Amino acid sequence: MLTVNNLVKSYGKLQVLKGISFKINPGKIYGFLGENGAGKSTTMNIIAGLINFDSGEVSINGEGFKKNKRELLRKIGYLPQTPVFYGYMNGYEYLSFIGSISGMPKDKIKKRINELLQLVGLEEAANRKIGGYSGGMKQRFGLAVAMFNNPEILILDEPTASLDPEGRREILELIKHLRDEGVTVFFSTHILNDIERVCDEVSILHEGKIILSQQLDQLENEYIQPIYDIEFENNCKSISEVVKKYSWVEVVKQDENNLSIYVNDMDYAKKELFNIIASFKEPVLSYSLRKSNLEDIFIRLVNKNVNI
Amino acid sequence: MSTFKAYFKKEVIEAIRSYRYIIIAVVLIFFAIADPIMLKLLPTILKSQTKMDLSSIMVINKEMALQNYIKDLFQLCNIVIVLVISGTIGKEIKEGKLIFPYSKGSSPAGIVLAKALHYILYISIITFIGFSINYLYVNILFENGGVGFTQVLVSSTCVVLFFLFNISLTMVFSCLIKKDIVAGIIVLFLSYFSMVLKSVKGIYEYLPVNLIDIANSFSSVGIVKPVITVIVSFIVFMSIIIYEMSKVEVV
Repeated sequence: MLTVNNLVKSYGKLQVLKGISFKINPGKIYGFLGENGAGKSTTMNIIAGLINFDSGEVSINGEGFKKNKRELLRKIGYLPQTPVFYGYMNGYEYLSFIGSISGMPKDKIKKRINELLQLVGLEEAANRKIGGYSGGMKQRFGLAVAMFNNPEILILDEPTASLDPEGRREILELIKHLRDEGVTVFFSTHILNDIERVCDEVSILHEGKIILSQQLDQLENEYIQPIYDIEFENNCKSISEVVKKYSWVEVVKQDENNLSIYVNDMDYAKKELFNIIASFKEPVLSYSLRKSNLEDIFIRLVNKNVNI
Repeated sequence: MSTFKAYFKKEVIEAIRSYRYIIIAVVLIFFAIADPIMLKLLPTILKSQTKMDLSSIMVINKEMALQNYIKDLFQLCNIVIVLVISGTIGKEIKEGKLIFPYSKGSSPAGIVLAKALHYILYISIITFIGFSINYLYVNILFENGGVGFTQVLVSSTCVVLFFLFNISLTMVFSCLIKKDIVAGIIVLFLSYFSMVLKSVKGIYEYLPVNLIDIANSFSSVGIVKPVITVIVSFIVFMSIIIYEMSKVEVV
């Protein structure tokens, strides 16, 4: 388990991280969400051992960074936002270099290289210079490098940010595959859809503070605000006036033939609303339940500064 | 040790692929061959230009021919070596190339020592080869005077030690400044400026640049003091770089 406790980091007078704390359980995909400059990369760089921190503690399975950092780093794999390699090396040589740094024996290095190149689909490019790889190939190759030492925890800093939809899909599939293999994935992004597609838990970082940390399904249940969208054949102003009067209806928005009904008691709405609408004998063209997505929740939390 | 081995191999690949081996070898060996040939041809060239026979005035012996190569090693080859090495640490930090190795727990000491020893080893070998080639050509082309091969080896050792000092000094500035050209220029300035201190006996005899004078004398007299400086400086410079690399933020 990775535990971050009251982590503080400043650059000069600017405090980038203002005492953040969170825990990542083994075998989960943990999404780290935030605007640009919120402190996501700083947090990840600290956990990857690349930058120091002012105060607080980072520990893996109870062992703190302050005492045992170099040894603990061997349990971590890190993929930076823009991975940089020695471009004059080919894929095979670079992975072999990383294997040597990790202190693995030669035969194991060779075996691991073949496994990883197959996993990220770069067997064909193994003997090509990395400098000639495309953006997507570099990202996949970076994932192979991060995975080389069979890390318990994989830290991925915006791995899909610069990829096309196909490249994104491939990386997300790989991340899910790694979770299935028991790897803990700590994954930052500002692409909310990626979080919804793969994450088990999510934290939202805003101005150096964690403003929310929760399991994704719980988050959706807790912050969801159900809205019924109903389209009538005719103007529905009269129906709007009636529906407004029910106590379990919070807001009703009417626009010509369309009605959006915001409810505060979902169970009651499920049972009663359909019957009420039917009682008007007005032709209904569509009746649907709209759910807030993570983007709605993120915007509400960050922009409206809603207290959690 | 695993970091040292991995980085030593990486430095070899890098030096081959970025033509650093070839650049250094070509420059050192070019002067080893060209210097004696040019010196031999110099009276003839001047005669054709001035219509005067200078061969009786310009008597060049073997010592002078070898000293001419040492002069070129100090004045010209030194520039190439310093500029080739000046980006070895700063550039890697600046370009984020150490992110993956650092995130795998690589040791800064292993990285620094692999880089330093790799270049010291290569430049030592090429310098000895350069001196040997130069010695061969000098002996073929010139008749007067005589310097034994053992004396040439002493001279080449002095030049190698001078290069060792400059390599470690370049790496310090590369690490601290992180701008390769600036680091190179500072080291070259210090190298050539230290010659100005020749008149200050008490200081000059301890300076690494004194090794060039000792190399020119083809003897080992007075070698101990500058060697002590080179060894102490090397240890101090490596310690500074390792300390800096341990606390540097590589992102």
